[in-house]
Amino acid sequence: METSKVLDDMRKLFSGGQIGADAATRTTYGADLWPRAQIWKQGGEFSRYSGACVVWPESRLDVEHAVGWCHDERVPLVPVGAGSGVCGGAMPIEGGVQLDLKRMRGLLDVDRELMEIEVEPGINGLLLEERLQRQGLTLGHYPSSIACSTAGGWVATRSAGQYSSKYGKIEDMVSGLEVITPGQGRVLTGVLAGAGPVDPWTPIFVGSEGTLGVVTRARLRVHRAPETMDFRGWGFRTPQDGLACMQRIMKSRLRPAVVRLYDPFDSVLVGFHRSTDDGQDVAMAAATHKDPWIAKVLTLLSGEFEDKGMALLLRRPELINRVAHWLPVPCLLVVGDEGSEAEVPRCMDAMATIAREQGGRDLGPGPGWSWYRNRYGVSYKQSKIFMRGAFVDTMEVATTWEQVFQLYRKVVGAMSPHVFIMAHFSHAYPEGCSIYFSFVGYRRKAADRERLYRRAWRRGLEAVTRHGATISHHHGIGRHKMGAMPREMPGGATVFQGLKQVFDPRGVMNPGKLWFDGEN
Amino acid sequence: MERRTSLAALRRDLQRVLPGHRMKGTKGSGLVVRPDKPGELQQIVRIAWDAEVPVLPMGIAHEQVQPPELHLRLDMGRFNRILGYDASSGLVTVQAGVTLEGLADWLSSKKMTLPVHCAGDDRIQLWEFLTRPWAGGYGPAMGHKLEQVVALAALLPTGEEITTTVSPRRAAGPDPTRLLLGGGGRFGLLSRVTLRVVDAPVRVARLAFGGPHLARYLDMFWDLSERIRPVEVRIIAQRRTLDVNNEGTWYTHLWTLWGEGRDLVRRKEMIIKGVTPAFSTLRLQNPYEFEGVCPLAGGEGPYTEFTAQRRDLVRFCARLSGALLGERLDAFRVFGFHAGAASVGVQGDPGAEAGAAGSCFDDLADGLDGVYPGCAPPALLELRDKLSDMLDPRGIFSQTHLLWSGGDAS
Repeated sequence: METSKVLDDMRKLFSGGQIGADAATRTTYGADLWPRAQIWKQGGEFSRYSGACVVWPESRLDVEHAVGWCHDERVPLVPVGAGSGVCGGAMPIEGGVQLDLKRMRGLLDVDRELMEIEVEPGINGLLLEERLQRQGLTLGHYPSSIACSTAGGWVATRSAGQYSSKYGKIEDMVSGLEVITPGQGRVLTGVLAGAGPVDPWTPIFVGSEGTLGVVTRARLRVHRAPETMDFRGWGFRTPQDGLACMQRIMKSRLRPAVVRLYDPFDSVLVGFHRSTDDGQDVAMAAATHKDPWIAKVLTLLSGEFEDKGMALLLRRPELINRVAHWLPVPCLLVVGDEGSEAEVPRCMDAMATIAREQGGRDLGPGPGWSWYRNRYGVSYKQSKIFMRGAFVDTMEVATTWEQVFQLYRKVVGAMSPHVFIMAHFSHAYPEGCSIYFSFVGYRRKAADRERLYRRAWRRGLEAVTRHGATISHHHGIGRHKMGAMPREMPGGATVFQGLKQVFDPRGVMNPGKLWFDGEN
Repeated sequence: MERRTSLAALRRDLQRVLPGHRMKGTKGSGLVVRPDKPGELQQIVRIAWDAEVPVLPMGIAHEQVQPPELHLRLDMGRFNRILGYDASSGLVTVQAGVTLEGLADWLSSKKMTLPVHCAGDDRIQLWEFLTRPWAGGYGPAMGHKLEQVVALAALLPTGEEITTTVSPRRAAGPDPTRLLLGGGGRFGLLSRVTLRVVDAPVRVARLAFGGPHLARYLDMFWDLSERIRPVEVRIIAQRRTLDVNNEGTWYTHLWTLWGEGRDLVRRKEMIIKGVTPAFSTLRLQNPYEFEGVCPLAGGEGPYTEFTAQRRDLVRFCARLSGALLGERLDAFRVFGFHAGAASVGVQGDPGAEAGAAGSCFDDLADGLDGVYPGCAPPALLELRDKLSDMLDPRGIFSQTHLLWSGGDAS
């Protein structure tokens, strides 16, 4: 359908202030924070995809109008939260209408008896948490994007907060949903439908990334706000030693808020400690190392680098990655808990006992509290790297304890020739944990950079699926990872197609995402 | 539905897949097949799909139901291998025909146990246990039984296999795990399951109390359960103990804790402190004896289970108490307190007519929105049927529910 016709009809359905169709709006909404889209921008391509217009619904009725119209007219409809997704999930691949839900931002109910709240999808994460804390409650969901994400976005992508070991992921918090679907109209799930906690429909919509309908209401479980919190750092000689400690903590039925282990590179880069195990300073090591290349890498890790130096180093990522073996720093394990005055010290003591028994060196509370103070900072450090003509991205996978170190090695091995890579292990559960890889790559020309980016990802995801691990722990699939979905869940496409037939028979909801088979 | 094949043709097709396999006939026009290997199971489903013949896995309750005319009965008894055990991650991977009893025995040799138990017959096979609408025990500490499934493989009606990754959590699109499990077997035939397992308890402590304050007990359970994490809390009311001490209706509650040492003692004290003074409740001296007098699922009367949301539980239990006093029920129990909901098991009068189990409890949940029999309220069952029509237009698995139409009664 022509853009002008879409706009004409939208103007009949919504007031002028609810529609944005100017070039700046459409370009802004043309991409989320998928790094590949940032590479396009580096190459001067600012609007590879754009919709006909952006609509800001203010009520469920508005959403029903938009969904109904798109269904009738077979026009794509893309729900948008805060736009901080990193997989291209909110990009208007096939044009159409983008539905920005940020004006539906109500905290509709706080039920202290059932310890549940009800929210509209566009409520900002940080504002929601602040409002709950003022009432002595917490959702316990703290993604690093909390300031630039919404409750609806969390639900759509199966988001995880940094305290997921204690409170679970968003799917553990959702007890019911209201979803507006083209095929079945308003669908209620879980407690909103009068069903129980294991209602099979809630997990179908959680993580569906807007491909089945638009979430207009979510019922979420909350907890009492913590009375206290505590953090501590432990140093381990190798990642394996640290992982053994994490595993024992989670198997001992403790439920700490934070258990995060950094590999050697990440331990240095997060800036917790610049000094080595035996007190040697990393910058000093850089200055005195015999091998000039290793010296350069250590300089880079110590935070003292220039554009030219970085470009030079990133042309030879394998070399940098090899330095990890020689890096004279311990792997940092950050542990922490929050809760009642009675429970937190007990949990911290129990973790300290395990850490000591596993050979950990007590680094004191400093690194733990340092992590806490900077816990939302990582999302805002990437622009600097893009500004210097490189790219940076993260890959969050998950597997069992038995497989986790092997998976780490395989992925690092597969991606090392292409990008500078580091990782931390977090989101620990009794059965396993997530590995969060961060990587940086560089090529002078944007087109070459995109090719490198895609190659690195392809190699990484192949290693993950070959190992039987999941390709996403909490970022979702979007446009970005859908090529790996047939390996992630063989046979899943058939079930997804069945769901699409029921809820979105004309395929208008966020097309080109999750299971789309075409070129990406 | 008109079928494309005859019994003889079906037998011929199956013998190609299962050469030398002796297929028994059933009372109607059916065949019983006993697959042994994953490939065989897949072939059987494909043949059923091509021939448009319903596949009915044989569960504990299957004899109670009249099957459709031409059908395949799937005996999963040989499909019972332990496929993998990952001690460090606490996971076991098994074929879906393994019995809970067999699995528990095998795990005990590793000093491990399942984080869920079946209130009824332990000889139940895993596929049936997971797809029937029972919550399972151990909810307060371990969660619902379906939450113990980390990964699965299932055959879709066409014979295509769907598998999920063995991962503690994932964010890879919609998660069909509970749909495949909780859909009552309509969307797929479970063939392989990876389950959480936990260390066998060093010590098990049981505490039992009795008293007349149902509503206050229920409130207390939510609160204490969160802090103490018992593996199980049960409240039981039964006709035979109605008039203990002539105090009117008498409710007994049983707490089961796993643990050891000081931690176990501390948690026991928290329960005693939380329960006794606040409610003038009697502590019963022999919880083991108490457990034996209330068999419920294993008892003589018809039995069914409801799910009740926390806000509706008190009203529902009050209604059940009325039915108990009116001698319509023999007993009821509330258990599986988890995530804002609880399971309620109801046992009817042992004198009730056989086969009446499905209908004799129909009115108990009427008008209570947050209470419903089995696993889903009617609106969601409609959605289930619509999806079933999409995934299984030939009705291969949609007859499966027949096994359970009266099968809520054990």
